[in-house]
Amino acid sequence: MNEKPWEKMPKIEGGVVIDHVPINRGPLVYLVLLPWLKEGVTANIRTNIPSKKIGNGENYGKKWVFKIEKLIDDEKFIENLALVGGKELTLNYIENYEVVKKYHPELPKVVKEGILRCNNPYCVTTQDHHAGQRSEFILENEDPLIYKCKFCGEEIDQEKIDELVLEKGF
Amino acid sequence: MFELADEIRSHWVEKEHMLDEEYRNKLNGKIMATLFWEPSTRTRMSFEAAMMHLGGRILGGFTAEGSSVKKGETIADTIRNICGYGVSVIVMRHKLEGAAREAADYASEYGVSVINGGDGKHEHPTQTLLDLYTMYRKHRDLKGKRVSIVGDLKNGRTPHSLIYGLGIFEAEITLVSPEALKMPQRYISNFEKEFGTKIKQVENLEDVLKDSDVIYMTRIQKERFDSPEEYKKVAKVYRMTYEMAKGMKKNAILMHPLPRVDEIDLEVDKLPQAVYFEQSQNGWFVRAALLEDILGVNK
Repeated sequence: MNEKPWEKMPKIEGGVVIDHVPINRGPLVYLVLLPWLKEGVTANIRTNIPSKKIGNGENYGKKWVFKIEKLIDDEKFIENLALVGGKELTLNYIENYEVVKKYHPELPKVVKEGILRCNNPYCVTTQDHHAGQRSEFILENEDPLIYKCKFCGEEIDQEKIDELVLEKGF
Repeated sequence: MFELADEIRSHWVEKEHMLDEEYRNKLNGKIMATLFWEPSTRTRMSFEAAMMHLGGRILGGFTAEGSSVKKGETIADTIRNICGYGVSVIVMRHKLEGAAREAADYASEYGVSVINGGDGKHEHPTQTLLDLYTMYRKHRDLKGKRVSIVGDLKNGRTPHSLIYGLGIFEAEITLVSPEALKMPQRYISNFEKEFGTKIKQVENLEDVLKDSDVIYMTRIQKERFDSPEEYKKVAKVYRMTYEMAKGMKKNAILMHPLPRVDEIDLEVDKLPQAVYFEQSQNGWFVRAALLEDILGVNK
């Protein structure tokens, strides 16, 4: 366990490294990244790397790492990473093989025109198409994660957010 | 708001069925549109009565069936049209939850206020105003008063708004409902987060009968069940009989937002605790106060 397998991943000259993605979040982060991959961006994705940060106390956990050879700073991309990637997820921006910026994307206080959709079949945003284009969700609680529909008050938890991402499939 | 409702009440001339000269023209020239996508008796008529008693006029006649809504018009477009006709305020009821908020976002562009007259299973805030006003008239200070809300707390929008209002006045709340009709947890969590106090929940009406200062009965919302079978399972779960109501505290009150089906026996109407018709009448005083507050001469 002394070796750091992720260091074996080739360094990138420029772009973004998404690190400390817990393995149950990895496939969802992959989906969020998919539109850029479809556009032809090169990425090196390594799964199930032992990581103490992801672990529970003394034990190693397992993480996914994404090394993307393009600087993606699109707001929606970062918002979506925060929504599905787990609180340990770290974004590292790379220039000339060096990390120039490193941070945990914060959960957005308000999500507008994003991947969230109200789950309440009687909510105005699910039946009135005009209102549906203005759906808005307010961050109610970070742990456990809960967003609240601005219109009807329906709550959306992490499980529902994951379902929406899987359903969208990008 | 309650003081303003009391003030309007003090200007009511009972034998003439109208407000006195000082008050009957308060909202002269103002127009209130009533947009009811769902049926209503008390909410619509008490708002209309309030507006007319204060000298305002009504732009009514709207129904979902007979309007462009039937052709798929959105709430936003309907509201923008109505606002263009020079109304000052819109009272609306809609089956969709959050509909009034959607409407308000567009009406505000015209400086027009929207009052939520009920949105699906979500909220019914002006019912709460008149409910609290009725309790205030009886008990004045509601702090520590035991208020038991009974019946369909899942589908009924009235209790969802009422607990919030009671929280502001620091009343002690007990919810009485069978497991299948319990209030959705999110309303209770929001309440506890907002006010830092717990809400008690029980299943038997008998458990609260003797100790409550207010018993608030509600109708099982037949129209909001997915199937008739589901409704039948809980249809007659609570019934306030004459004998039971007599067991209430002497100065307690028995309330109901109406319409009732069979939750309260007709004989109970004779008891001094039965205040549901007075509660209904309070509706127009409170709604008049609300209209004056929104549209009054200084606005």
